Amino acid sequence: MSSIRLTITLTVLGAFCLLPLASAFAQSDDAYIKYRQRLMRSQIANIGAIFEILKSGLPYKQNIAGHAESILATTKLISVAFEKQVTEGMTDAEPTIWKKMNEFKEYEKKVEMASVELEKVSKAGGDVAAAAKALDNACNDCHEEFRKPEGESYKNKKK
Amino acid sequence: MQDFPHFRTRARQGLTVLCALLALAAPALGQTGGASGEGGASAVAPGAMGTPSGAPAAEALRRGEYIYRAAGGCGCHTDYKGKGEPLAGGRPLKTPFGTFYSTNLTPDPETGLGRWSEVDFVRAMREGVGPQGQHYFPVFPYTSFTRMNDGDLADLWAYLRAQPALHQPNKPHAVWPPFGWRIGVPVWKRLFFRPGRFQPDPQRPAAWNRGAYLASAVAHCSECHTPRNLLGGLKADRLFAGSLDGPEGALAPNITPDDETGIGKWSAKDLEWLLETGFKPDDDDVQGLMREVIEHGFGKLGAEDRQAIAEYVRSVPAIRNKLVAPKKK
Repeated sequence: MSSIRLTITLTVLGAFCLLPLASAFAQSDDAYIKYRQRLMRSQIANIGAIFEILKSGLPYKQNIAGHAESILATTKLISVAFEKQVTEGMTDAEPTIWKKMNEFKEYEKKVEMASVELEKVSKAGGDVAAAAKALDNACNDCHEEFRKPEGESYKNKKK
Repeated sequence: MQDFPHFRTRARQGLTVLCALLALAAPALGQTGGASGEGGASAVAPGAMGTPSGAPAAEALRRGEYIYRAAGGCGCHTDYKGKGEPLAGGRPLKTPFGTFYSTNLTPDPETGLGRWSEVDFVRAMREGVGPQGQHYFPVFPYTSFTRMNDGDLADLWAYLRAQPALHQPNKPHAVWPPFGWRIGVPVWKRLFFRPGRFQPDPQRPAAWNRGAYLASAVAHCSECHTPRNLLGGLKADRLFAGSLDGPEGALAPNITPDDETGIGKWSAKDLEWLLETGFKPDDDDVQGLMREVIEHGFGKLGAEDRQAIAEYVRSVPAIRNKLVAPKKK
């Protein structure tokens, strides 16, 4: 009897000891999600800024090259951010990213090529609006495939 | 693929109502033509359409392409996801009533519109009736196209005729009975279809009227952004209030000028920019069918027409309607 009691006690104590560890893992996963989302927000902030200049005719055209540089630099960080598979939590990343990693990387490559083109055009002169739209389209192609649609976003779910 | 869980109960209720209506309206069917028989009298007089007098063919084609763009590039008839050929149909259009497959619009004589006349085309667009008198399901938005003007229909026909013919047989629809019974369509039309050309509002400026025409007739915005009743009829008093049963099961947002649940906080420029690029003021992009509509359609229109659409859309009554996607089971 006493050995059974001892086993139960040790199991319960062990579980209590492991709880903070599990929580730490969960926090760590959340951090990965937050990092990915911050990268994406950084991208969208720069594309959004370029579009705002073009849409509203703001006198900041000289800033577009700076935004394009930032976009290109951040684009190169995306690959690493999706190396670890984290699908649970406040994320709209589709789990299929990690099942079709080669396809995901193809989209990523297209985004990078479009970012290079935007940077080039913004410095050398050319149709910046077309290059920015092309980049936005490249981002969107990937979102269509690997981001949950708006209706299924964690942001829109009933609590 | 998307599902419509919230719609199932309503669909069952609708099914009962439709069966009752079919029984009541059976005598009326004789007046409108049966499901697949030769249809009733057409409101389109043969020869009434034709290319505008003296207009060179190339000019008609150019205008036709423009109308095609204004109609969103007729994207429902191209299966982009399935890597289908342009306008060859076969795209699955999932609705609360089942899955419809779009038809081949290319001039192929066997599987497309190759044997159609212009009068056939106009009748289909204005009345939702095919060359053999068959009534089309309202997944084909003739409920909006009926408002198009004669010249635009003629030009659009010229453009479609000039596209490469592609042999691709149409797929049968997979729609639940009784919604898949063509015999019910005339009843549905009597209830919910009001044929007739767009009537401009003389009290409004020309740009507003242009926008109203493009949005309500050609671009058929209502078909996705206006909620539907149990039988799939548009709720006219909820114009553009958004729908959970949007295209392909996706949420179609509220685009009325409501500050909280619609686009009331958007500027005219914001809306014009969205129609040009798909980029929203909240720094996100539209997705799904609307993205295709912009990429192949609205993005290629003249800026003045996007301004006109924006002017009209921003003028409709604001409706508070927060759409929250149901949790997936």
